[in-house]
Amino acid sequence: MKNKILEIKNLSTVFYAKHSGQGKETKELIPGKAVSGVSFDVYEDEVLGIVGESGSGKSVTAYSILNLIPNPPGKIVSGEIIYRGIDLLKLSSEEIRKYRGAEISMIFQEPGTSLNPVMRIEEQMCEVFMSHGKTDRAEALKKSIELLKRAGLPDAEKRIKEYPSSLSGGMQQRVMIAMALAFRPSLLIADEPTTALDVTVQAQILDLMSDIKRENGKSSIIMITHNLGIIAEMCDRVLVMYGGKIQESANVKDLFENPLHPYTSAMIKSIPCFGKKHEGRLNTIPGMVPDIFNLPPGCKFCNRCEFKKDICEKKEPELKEISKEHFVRCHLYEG
Amino acid sequence: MKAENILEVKDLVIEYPSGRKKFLSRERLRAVDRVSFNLPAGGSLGLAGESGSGKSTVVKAIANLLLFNNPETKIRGEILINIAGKEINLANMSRSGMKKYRKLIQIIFQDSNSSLNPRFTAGKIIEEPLLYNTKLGKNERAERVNFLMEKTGLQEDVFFRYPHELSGGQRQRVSIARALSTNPRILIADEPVSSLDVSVQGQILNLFSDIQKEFNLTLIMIAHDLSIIESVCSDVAIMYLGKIIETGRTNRVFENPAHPYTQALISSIPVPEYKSEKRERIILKGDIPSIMKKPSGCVFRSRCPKAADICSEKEPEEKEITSGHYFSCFF
Repeated sequence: MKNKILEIKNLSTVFYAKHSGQGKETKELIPGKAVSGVSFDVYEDEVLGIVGESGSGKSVTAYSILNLIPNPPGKIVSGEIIYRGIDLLKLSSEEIRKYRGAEISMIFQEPGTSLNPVMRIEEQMCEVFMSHGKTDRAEALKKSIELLKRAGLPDAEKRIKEYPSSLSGGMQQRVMIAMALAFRPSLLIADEPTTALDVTVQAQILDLMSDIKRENGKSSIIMITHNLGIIAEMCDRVLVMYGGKIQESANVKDLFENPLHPYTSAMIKSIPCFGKKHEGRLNTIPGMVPDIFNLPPGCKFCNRCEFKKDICEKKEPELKEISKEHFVRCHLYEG
Repeated sequence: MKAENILEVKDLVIEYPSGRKKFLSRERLRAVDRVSFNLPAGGSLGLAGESGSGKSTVVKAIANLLLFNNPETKIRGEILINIAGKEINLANMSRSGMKKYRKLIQIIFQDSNSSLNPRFTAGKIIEEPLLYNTKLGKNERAERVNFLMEKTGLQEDVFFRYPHELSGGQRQRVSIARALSTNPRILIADEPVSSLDVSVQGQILNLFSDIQKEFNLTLIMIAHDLSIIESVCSDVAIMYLGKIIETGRTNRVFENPAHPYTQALISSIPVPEYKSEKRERIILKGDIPSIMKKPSGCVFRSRCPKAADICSEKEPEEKEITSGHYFSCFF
């Protein structure tokens, strides 16, 4: 059995806001349940995928791990995030900074907006080294160039003197990856790392991430994406999220060959898959993702589900283990 | 022009003025370089390629929106449309001259959030083109709007909603209804689903297939995702740095890609299927070069895994492998 490096227990994160989605605005702040009761483990040396549509709570889960939820309006209302025996949520903002970037680091979706536009790449990279370790500027610069080269940035010595705006999206993402890997973190959280990039560049970045993981040895990656193709190519284990809850969790093989939750199978069927002939129309899921301010009381997916029963509206099913390490939250598999 | 074709683009060259000044005149950027294609009525063409390959510029030229944005843009070549047997060249058509034809060519943009007027209700957005392009009375217009909303799967209450009150999928449906309002012959869609969630994406793509049949439209769709083109379009053209490097029937091109760039594009799509062994992928090095620094000879040679000496010396000619399937490469 592999060692757990991160254990998330019963995590719930809410956002307070005045409106309740479409329609009339409420007077008081009401909580929107972005993530409710999410528990999962991350093991050493694995790539865990979290897949779901926008509003399913996958990014909020990731931000919660490093306590990056802006408060207000957001708040982590319950849960424990245990990294190597230490609950990250109990740490003060000073203490958690030792973990951010050094032990657990993160790559964000849009490299263009996560780099500071008025600082040269050089300054931003050296800052990482100088704020975490006791390195002087010259040493930091040397290390930065080395990292950028490893991340496959061409002309690293020259590029490091430039501003982010003069780099392409792919190059910016390489800089972000280089920064995130500065201290060889044992856990890397990648939030839609390739969504803003072209397919050919996406392939380069995914390859780079696998290479770096192989070189670093026992590091783990949490890969957040809505692209099932990336999940199939990169991940070992997958969590499917919907309406702020984990709906299904399985290893990649089981998820694609034997999806249990109606949402998972509908999602797999609804994407146009390259190279497969479609007879006429694509399968679709009717309706849309529920509003977090107005979640249905029972199963979060029941309004769009083709197998809906009476009980689905009233009672939320439990996450249940059907076969080894294959969990699903659905009434079809209960009782 | 062949009778069955509704659109013929011949040797289209589009140059933007660049910021840099050369002696007496400005340097110009060639965003689109000798692009030619034909579209039969009722056909559907997918344009694919990385960002910066000129696909949006081509469709904007067809919809005559380029001179509108920048009057210094130079357009050469021909954009011929066939309207009731008459041949009309839209390249360099003036704004007032275009007025007659604008209702025949409609365009749907990528970001429905910024292409719908935030101060108009959905009903008014769909009605607006009718005001300027038709002579319908108030009641007839309302009837037409209701008809379009029904066809695009919008519920009646959407009529009174503002764009910010709608979901991304609904907004894209409003854009489609607006584009259909003037009964266009050619519908252009620039990345219509890339900002939508996967489950909604399928709904919108199905809608495109439906309306294409029902309204007998000719469709030009830009998508960077080749699987979307595969599922909607009958023909495909792959662009790189302003040139079409491969074109043909979608199934032929995707089953037997001839150009190394097409092969690389196809192999870089992540496939949502479990495989015990990782497949071999062709991974291109680097990014698409800037159009200011185009490589000599074949435009793709700087990233091509097969590049040889001849590629830098001259430009490859277009070759036909099977009927209608063309590509430009020496190998």
